[in-house]
Amino acid sequence: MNCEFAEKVSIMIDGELPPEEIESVRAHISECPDCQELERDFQFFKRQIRESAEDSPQIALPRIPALDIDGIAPTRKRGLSIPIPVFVGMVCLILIGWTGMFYFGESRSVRLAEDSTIKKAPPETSAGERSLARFDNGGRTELFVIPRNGEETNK
Amino acid sequence: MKTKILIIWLLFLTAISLCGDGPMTSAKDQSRRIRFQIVTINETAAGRKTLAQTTIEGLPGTDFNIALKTKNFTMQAKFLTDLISVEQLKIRAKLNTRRFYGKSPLDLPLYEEDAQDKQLKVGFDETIVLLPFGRNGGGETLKIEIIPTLISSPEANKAAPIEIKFDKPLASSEIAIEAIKIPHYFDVEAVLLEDGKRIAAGNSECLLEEEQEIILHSTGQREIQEFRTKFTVDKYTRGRPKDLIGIKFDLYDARQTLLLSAAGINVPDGEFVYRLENDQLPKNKKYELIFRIRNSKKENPD
Repeated sequence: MNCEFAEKVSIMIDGELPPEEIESVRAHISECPDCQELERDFQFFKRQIRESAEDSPQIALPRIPALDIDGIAPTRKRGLSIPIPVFVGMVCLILIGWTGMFYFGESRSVRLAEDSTIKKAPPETSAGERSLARFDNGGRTELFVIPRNGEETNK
Repeated sequence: MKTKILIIWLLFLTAISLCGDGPMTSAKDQSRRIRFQIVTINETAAGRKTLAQTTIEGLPGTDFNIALKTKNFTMQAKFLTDLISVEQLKIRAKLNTRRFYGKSPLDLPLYEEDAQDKQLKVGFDETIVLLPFGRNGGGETLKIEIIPTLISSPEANKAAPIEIKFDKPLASSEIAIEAIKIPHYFDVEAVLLEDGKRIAAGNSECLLEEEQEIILHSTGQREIQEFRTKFTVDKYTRGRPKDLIGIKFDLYDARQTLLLSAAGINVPDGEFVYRLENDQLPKNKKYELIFRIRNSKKENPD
């Protein structure tokens, strides 16, 4: 069909033709056998679609994810699918392990603390004031050289 | 001509007498003595109080030990001294301390121990300071000062024995001081024998308690590899009828270690003989290493 009004006939059948053009298109249809046949076909298909929609149950069409500004579809986060019993078991194991570490570590450190309790020797006082022990403050022995009237050097 | 030769000889002899940073010759040493004044001091912020004083006097090379013993603490300070010039002494000190710390949970004694080796060069215008208990901030500090003095006297030509004078004894008797004179310098000859024949030899002067490397070079017509020994005279003990010398050494050739941590003890002028048995040496030959140790000529006669 090569008639230039074919497209306008289709738009008119869909109800989207501006009102001022409908009369001219109807006038053409009355004179054009091709456009008359085209109108009959479009009317038939439109009726068929309406009737089948009334007879069939509602179909939930899948939602098409909206595009972002850049035209790239946002990614959907993937979760790790773990069955609940397995998840509960893992949590229990972690709790048991943590509790065990805490208990045994604490015990071990308590045992170490007990083992490392050293009874430190008291300062020497028995020898009296004459003893050189009164100078002992636990320091390390030192040896160095000083000028007869100056600061120390270690040569 | 004769005058020129005489002047050259005089200059040569003068140069010999002036040169050397090493120990003095025995003739000069006999006119020189070293005095060590050992002063024990209680030092506080307010001042110093002398608790004890001891004077040791002897020929260069006189060694001394200071031992301190209280109920919970012992210190052994050993000083080896060598006169290296008219202005300086070389002092090698070994400090060992042991302090009772407390009791373990099993009621066993616990001790805190320390060992230090120090090498000092001390001028005769300097003082050696020993702090047995370390520093004590502003509190009381026990200090032992050792003041060396070189005594040069043309009249003191004879090798007088060591003198120790307790100018002021310590009231508590917790410090003991002793002095000893033993040889420090030794001439060591090392000889390697193959089937009783001398094939390599080397010699060196060794200082007591200091490692010295001696290289044994080939002595025969056959060129052999070089042997090296790291040698130490680590002990000299006065005894009767003879003194004893202790040595330790390692022996290497160009490729490997032939002997490690070998040791021996013998009388001075005696021979230390070691048979070498090593898989790397030819099995059909017998190898022996011999050391001969004598007091160095630099040493003062005993």
